[in-house]
Amino acid sequence: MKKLSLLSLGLLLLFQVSCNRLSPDSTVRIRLAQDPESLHPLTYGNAPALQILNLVYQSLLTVNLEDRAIQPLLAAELPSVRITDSLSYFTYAIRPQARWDNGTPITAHDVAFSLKILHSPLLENERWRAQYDFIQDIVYSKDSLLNFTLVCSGYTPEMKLLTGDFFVLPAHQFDPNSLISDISYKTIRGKYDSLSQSPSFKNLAQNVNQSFFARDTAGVKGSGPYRLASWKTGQHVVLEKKKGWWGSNISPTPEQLRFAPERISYQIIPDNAAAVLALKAQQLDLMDNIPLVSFKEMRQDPKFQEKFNFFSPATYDIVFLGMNGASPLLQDRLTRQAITHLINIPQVIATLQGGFATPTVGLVHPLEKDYYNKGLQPVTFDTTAAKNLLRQAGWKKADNSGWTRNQNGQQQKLVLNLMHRAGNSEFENMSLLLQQNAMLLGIPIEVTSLESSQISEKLQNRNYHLYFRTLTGNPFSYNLLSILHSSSAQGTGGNVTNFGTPETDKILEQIATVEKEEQKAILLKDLQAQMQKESNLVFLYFLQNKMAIAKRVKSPVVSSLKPNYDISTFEITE
Amino acid sequence: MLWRKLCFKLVQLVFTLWAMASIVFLLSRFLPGLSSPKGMNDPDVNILSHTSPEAVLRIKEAYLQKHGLHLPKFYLSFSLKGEKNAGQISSASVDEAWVRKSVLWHGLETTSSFYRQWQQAYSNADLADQSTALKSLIKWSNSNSPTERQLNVAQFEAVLKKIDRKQRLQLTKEWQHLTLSSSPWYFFLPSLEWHGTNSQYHLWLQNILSGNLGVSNSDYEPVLDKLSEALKNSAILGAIALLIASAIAYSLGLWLAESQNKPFCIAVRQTLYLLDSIPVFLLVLGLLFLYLLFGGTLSGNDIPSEGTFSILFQSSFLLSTISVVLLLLPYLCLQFYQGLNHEADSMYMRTARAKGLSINNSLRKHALPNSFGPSLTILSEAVIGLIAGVLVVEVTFSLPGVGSLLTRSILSSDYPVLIASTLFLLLFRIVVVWITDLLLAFVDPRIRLS
Repeated sequence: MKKLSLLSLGLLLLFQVSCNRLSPDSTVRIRLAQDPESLHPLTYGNAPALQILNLVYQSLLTVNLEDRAIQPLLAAELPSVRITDSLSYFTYAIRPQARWDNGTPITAHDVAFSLKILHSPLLENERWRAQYDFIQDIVYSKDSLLNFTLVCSGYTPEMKLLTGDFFVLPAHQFDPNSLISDISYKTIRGKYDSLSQSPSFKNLAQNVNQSFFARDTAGVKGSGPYRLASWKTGQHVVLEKKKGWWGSNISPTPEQLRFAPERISYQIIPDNAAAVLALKAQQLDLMDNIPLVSFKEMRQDPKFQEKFNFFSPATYDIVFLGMNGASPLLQDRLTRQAITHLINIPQVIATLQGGFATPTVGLVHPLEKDYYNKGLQPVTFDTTAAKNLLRQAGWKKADNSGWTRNQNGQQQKLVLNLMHRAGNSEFENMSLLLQQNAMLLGIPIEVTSLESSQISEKLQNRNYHLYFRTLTGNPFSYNLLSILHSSSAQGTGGNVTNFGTPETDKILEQIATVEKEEQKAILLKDLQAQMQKESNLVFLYFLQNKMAIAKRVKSPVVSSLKPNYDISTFEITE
Repeated sequence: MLWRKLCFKLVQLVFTLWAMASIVFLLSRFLPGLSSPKGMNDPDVNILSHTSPEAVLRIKEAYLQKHGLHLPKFYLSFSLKGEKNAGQISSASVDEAWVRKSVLWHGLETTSSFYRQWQQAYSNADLADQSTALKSLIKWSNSNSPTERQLNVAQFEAVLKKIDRKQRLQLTKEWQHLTLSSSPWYFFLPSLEWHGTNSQYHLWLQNILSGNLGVSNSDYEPVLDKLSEALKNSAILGAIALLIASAIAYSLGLWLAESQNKPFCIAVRQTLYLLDSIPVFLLVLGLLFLYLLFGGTLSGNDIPSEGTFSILFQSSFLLSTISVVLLLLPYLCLQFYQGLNHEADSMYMRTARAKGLSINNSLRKHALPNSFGPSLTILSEAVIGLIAGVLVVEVTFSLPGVGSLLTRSILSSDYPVLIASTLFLLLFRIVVVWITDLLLAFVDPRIRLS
């Protein structure tokens, strides 16, 4: 019986294997760890979705993943900028060849529509409303439907990218009845609350908030080079290159409009072990964030060296230890400095990251040679220094009761709590190491692992001492006012460690507006020095991605910018 | 009699469901992630470069209004008497939080006179002083312990010293008056507040009763559609696997009991024990490994196929079915075999043998019906346990069933889907237990008559 059932199972398996229709060989197969969930250009919620949407929709500008230069995408060239006292004007021209799928040209009206729905009531666009709050108006040119000017409040250097960073959406598709074409962008921004009652906006919301635009192959359709061919939730997303796409008809085709793969198949495999198995069986052309042990093992195995190229590109994901400067125990910088001496960064990088991380002194990546402050020394593991600092901060160590001090007539005891995200084994181990090192000095640290939103809540209420977290940075903007300025240090603001002195506030304000590279370098180096002195945020290291790309992909471009590879360059050779 | 029992059971079912649904809903409303819009959850690691904190606050408030999240959660709410009394002071929205705490700690009258003074001083002070003073006061109200509070009192006093002399004197006096007085004891008693039907719970219940489970907040698909799609996959997988597994398990169990001590039987039994002890994920990964080794492909899946039962022709589906069968088989088979063995030792079996029945015949005629009752209970346990087993299988083979829907909805904070799928799992459990009870009563007269 058992034999029979095993035999039949085996036969079924064989049958299934032989039944498999192989996908065409020109397909690039990429592993996604997570389902995109939604491909709605307004409400998508995760990195895989953005990665796919970037191939379906287009914005005015793009960033070259290799040299990180800003390039015009839908725009014919980079915008011209005019700055006055309180306003700045960015004038764009759209490529005359740019077309929607139905053959109609992309015009300034589509750009205006895209901006309008970023600010319309009744839509799930809160983060975009916050992000593009600075765009005050759009003015059409009298001469051409392709030219327009964006009027922005104030001026900061990163507006050069941000003014062209939103998806330009086909107005004829999202608003087929032209419900809001006659309402100006300025009106929508100004009368947000009252417009939410208007029937036009109710109808618009009904149309835009549809799963048709989030998952239907006919609804997820932009001016980009690929169309959504199929999406099976939790299994795969397939993109196919459009035949006769407008971008490839331009000759010579600009680099940013060249896309090599004919078909891209994103395989959604949430389980890491299953994904590694699939990679080893050459069912995938690319897998990133490979678990450390598998990555090391495969890299050393000649069998896999033959089939794959291995990369460990730098990322701007920075791991840091945050300390609550608002809590009475960590209010003075000396105590905070003492804690920093309890982390053994080289040890963490060597053991937990397998060497695939870049130590840093601050929030600037060491790769950014002009901005990185080489003069600063990384914080070292040094219990003697920590002890001295604690004594300077007024702490006294009694043999059996730990560290205590008298502050404003109050007796304080140095007992700390540390939180990190549950399920992150690296943070878990880092916390244990820190706990151990602190114990050497007689400082008890209680470690708790929490769900991400719970951490956010505790941070918001300033109800914590220490936490580990990852900050995703980028090399384009060092406008850090929202997380470091003292004006963001209360309520729902992002400065949860209470960092900031009048001096650092001034530096941050200057960094946000400074245009000249040399000046910016001086300011950033100064900021790194100040932050190390204050030690509210102790930056430990930048992560590196661990990636394998099949050798049948010819000369792939790997980048430090997300998603760490440029899929447009993936040409398949057999 | 039977009808009355059935009706009673039905009422019980409805009541349990309602209670569970309400608990799940109310708990979900206490999740911290719900109160901020998508992409704005973690202000400490999301850099919104330009936007002023005021604009972010404004946008967040509009978001709460839009989704009715500013309403009270339930018909009733508890608050401390003191905090409730703070409503008598008409304070500006920025001051509301600290005024409430102040009333709770130090009483209504002292707070009210301090607040009057504060408003006067605040409007006369310059901008920078205003913000530092307010910040310090808010920090004081957020103190988590009495020691911290005292420290913050000292800090606020330090801030006060910087304010213009004329304003300062009166304000400092009121402040000291405030901090020295303490509120009456009953301010710390809980008090009930009635919000009526204008509460989040009421609106939700109304929707549920009208059959509206809402739409997914990630892709606007109605929750019911999403759930039924996933359910279809899980149900096909679970039903087929359960059918195969129980067919094999019962025949194998009977065969094992009949031919007790043959060496081959012992080998099969040991294999079953081994299979039973392998963790689910290992078993599943092993299968995937074998599949890939035989040359199976994952990308074979990506060619679109249509139709309700298209899932049946996917390699991942077949692999999942085999995994689930292998998961269920040892448990069901061994339990059934032991049940039979247990019955074989009983007195009535000895009588049957004495009357000349062969082992096989006595097993089939007498032991089998008697061991059917317990094995039904075991089967229902297996069906409920299937949910957990199927989850691992679904995640490994990327099969879009209820298990993976639940994990995905947790990962993407899709609360409507999360609530609905949790509810479904509960309902499933209750219904399975219910059906088992009925079946047991049906097959076993002893239960029916008791």
